[in-house]
Amino acid sequence: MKTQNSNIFYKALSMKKALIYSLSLLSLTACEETVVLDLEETTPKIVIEGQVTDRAGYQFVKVSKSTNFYASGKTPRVTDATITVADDLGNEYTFVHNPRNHADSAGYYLPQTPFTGVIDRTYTLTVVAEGQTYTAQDKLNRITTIDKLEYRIDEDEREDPEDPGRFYEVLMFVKEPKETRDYYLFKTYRNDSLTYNEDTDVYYADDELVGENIDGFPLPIFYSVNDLARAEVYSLSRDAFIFYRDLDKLLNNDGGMFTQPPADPRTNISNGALGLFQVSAVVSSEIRINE
Amino acid sequence: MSERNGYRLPAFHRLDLSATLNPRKNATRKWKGQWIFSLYNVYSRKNAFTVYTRTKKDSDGDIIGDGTQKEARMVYLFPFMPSVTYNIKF
Repeated sequence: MKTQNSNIFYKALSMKKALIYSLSLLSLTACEETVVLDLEETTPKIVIEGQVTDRAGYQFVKVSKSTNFYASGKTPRVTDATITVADDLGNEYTFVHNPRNHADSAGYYLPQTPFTGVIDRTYTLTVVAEGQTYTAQDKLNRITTIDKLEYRIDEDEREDPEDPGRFYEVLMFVKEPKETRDYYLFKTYRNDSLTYNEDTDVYYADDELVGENIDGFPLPIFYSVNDLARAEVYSLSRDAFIFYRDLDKLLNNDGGMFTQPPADPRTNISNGALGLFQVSAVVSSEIRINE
Repeated sequence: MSERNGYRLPAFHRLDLSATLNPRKNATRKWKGQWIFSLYNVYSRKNAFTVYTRTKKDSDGDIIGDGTQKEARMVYLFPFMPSVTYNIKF
């Protein structure tokens, strides 16, 4: 049994956790333990993760299958699916499984002939896997450019860094067009590897509560001297935004009284498959941290 | 065993005891007092407040293994708790 009253000083407490902790303060000894659930197995579902962008080399479709709650390791991959992507002008692109035969790319399909998406076109994904056909549609929305990145020392992080030496904060400067309703997904890289602050983080946003000039939007991770910081911003359709929001709520569900019951994220893929077909415009910017 | 959307939290049960002590009248006092001694959750059962799932982690919050394993965590609130109440009537 451990007391949790010191935890109330942790920053960024969610409302439900705050409630749980304040209730537990009354007794000073609220506790948590790992329990083993006795679960039945259901038929695995097909999981499709497809991405088409306006950037060369960013097009792929991954097909896998859902697995048991207590399973570990990689999910089973589907390697014999038939996959095409078509745009609204009738161009059709065939995807082939792992053409370069990378050992860790099982289940990944790449376009037979390279192509890039075009702004304002709608793309349709068709996947035939294990005798079933799954389709999805998404539109390639335009995106604003990143004006610049800057960095500065975060004094709090320098005093008490989570990782030694990593206390540089990178700020993004963007002009967000206000005449349209836009949705975004963010990916941040440290020295070319995709990095999250917490492993269950999902960085997504709509433009409802922001002004036109976004000056100094901090990236979620910290950097050390000589690190290369890179930010990628993806435009999303409303369907994709809803998927990422559902995914975030599912991954970060703490079981409190204000969270929804866990359920599959809503998807734009038909026929009961899980996953998402995401069509995006991508912009990126990078900066090296110097002393 | 439970199917999808069929899982139920473990049963909730709890024993509370309390005793009230009315002291003998003190004629010189203008007010009356009353002691209540209570025991909450006598056998200190860990009743589930909620169950949530997360990546498998150790007690320091560090991920165990390659991050593909998951676990269910049960949160429970109050264990055995004694309390004393004093009421005043005037």
